[in-house]
Amino acid sequence: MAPVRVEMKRKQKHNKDLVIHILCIIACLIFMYPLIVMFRKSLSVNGFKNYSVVFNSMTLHKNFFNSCFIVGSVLLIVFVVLSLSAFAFSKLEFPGKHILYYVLLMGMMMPTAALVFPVFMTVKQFGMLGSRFSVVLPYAALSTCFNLMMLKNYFDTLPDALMEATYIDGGSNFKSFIYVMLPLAKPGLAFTLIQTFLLSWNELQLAMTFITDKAKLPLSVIPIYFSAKTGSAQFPVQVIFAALIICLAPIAIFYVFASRFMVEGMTAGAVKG
Amino acid sequence: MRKRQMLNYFYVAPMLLLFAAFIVYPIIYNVRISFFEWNGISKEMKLVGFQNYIELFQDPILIRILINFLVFSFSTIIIQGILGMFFASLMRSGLKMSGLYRTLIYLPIVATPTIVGSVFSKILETNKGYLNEMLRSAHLDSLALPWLATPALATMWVIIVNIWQWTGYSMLVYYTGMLNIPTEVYEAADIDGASRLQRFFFVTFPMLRSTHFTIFIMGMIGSLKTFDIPYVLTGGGPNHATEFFSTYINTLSFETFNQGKASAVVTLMLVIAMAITAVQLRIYYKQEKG
Repeated sequence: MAPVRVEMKRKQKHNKDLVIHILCIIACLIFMYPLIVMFRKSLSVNGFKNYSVVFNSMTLHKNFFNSCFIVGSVLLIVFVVLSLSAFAFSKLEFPGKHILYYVLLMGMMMPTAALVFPVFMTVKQFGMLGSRFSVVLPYAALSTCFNLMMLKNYFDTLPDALMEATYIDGGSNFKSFIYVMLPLAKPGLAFTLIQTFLLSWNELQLAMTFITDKAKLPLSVIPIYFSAKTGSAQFPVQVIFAALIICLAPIAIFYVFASRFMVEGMTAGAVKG
Repeated sequence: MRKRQMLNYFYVAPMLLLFAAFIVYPIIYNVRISFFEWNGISKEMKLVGFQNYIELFQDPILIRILINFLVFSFSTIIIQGILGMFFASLMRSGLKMSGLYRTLIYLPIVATPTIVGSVFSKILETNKGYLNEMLRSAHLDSLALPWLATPALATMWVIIVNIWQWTGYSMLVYYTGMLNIPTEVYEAADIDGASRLQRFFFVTFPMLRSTHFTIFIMGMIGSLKTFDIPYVLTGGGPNHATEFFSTYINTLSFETFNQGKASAVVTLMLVIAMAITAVQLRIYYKQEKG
């Protein structure tokens, strides 16, 4: 009797798994559908020739390097500023620490729309309007505010005893930060820097307002200029789709490598708190 | 010791500088400008008191924006939350391929919004759009509607595209929440003979309370800030039907050059953001105590 029942249970489990697999596959198809449409249309009429039209007539490589320059600078600034302050709010003591922390957290709520015009005027005053650097500091500020809580929570999970160990060895706070805490905080840092990367790579509102010269625009803004071209003799729809695929490629490749850290970072409880 | 504590300020100084320049200063700037009549370009600024606010509260577009904000935020939070929970429970059932499924469902989040908007506008276009072509070839011509040219439908599609993009996020947050539920609770439920559905409604759902809350707050803030998708997909049109705070501020600042009013909208938006924060802090406080 018993083996038969086990067999039945296994069969039931098997059927249940099959249903879940089918549900998941349908869901994935729905989530991938626009991307599939994009890719199929980009190959219509002339096949891969559409891509060579894009490479010959558009200067997307320039926009790609602009994006790299902007995002690289933002990452550098955020890495320094964010790790210092998250460490301080988690492991050091100073008067007014808690109030200051909550005030800074308010920065998470800050809508980009609220800072476009004031910063636009400042950038204009400094004669930096149109420069790629004009968006770097605002992105850095928004990303630091957005990620402060996550990284501080990560530092909180590291034992305080490690700090005391450094003191006994005669080390300073800064030494303990550089040699002990920072290396241990790598997973938390990776996660927050990936968030920073995505935020500054995909940003539209500030970039399209501050930079008008198309040669200096980052890749994220370029697609809004495509719709004007669609249907013209030189740029039929399939070429536009090829261009969109090319614009999407860098971030898709990035995702292939980063997705593991993103999911792990979230599930490590980084979002809690 | 005291002096040593003072030195610790150096660690937070760079962040405070950024915060002062790009968060505090813009807020003060906008609040100040909201009391002036100014086109944002000329040297001449006229102090007009609350004139901009009076104009704003008589503006029918503001009502449109508030309705859109509420409809957008609640439908996104609820639908995305349900989908997120559903996919998270599928992922929790320990399937072999679940890692791959999770990665694919999460993928739209990294897609650049301008690209997403361009693709969806091609799909939804009235005459040559792929959706309508599909409907016509299935002889459902009456369903081939002008999706982005009809106010209610355009709003609906802005919401759908947004849900499409962000469901992966809800899924991951719920998945994390579910990992934190101790297995003993489920074992106890199994001993009591609970069915799968009962387990979900009487164990999982109530135990995810703090996760629901995170999803709610993030959803409200995200909806308040929303800009990219409506800007690229509909441009706030047709006739301001899909106008949101951010798109309207953009129009007032850089198209109709009414900076005084734009700053008044910003101020209103900040007040709403602060109200959401206040609710958040209150509930956090209650949770810490309870």
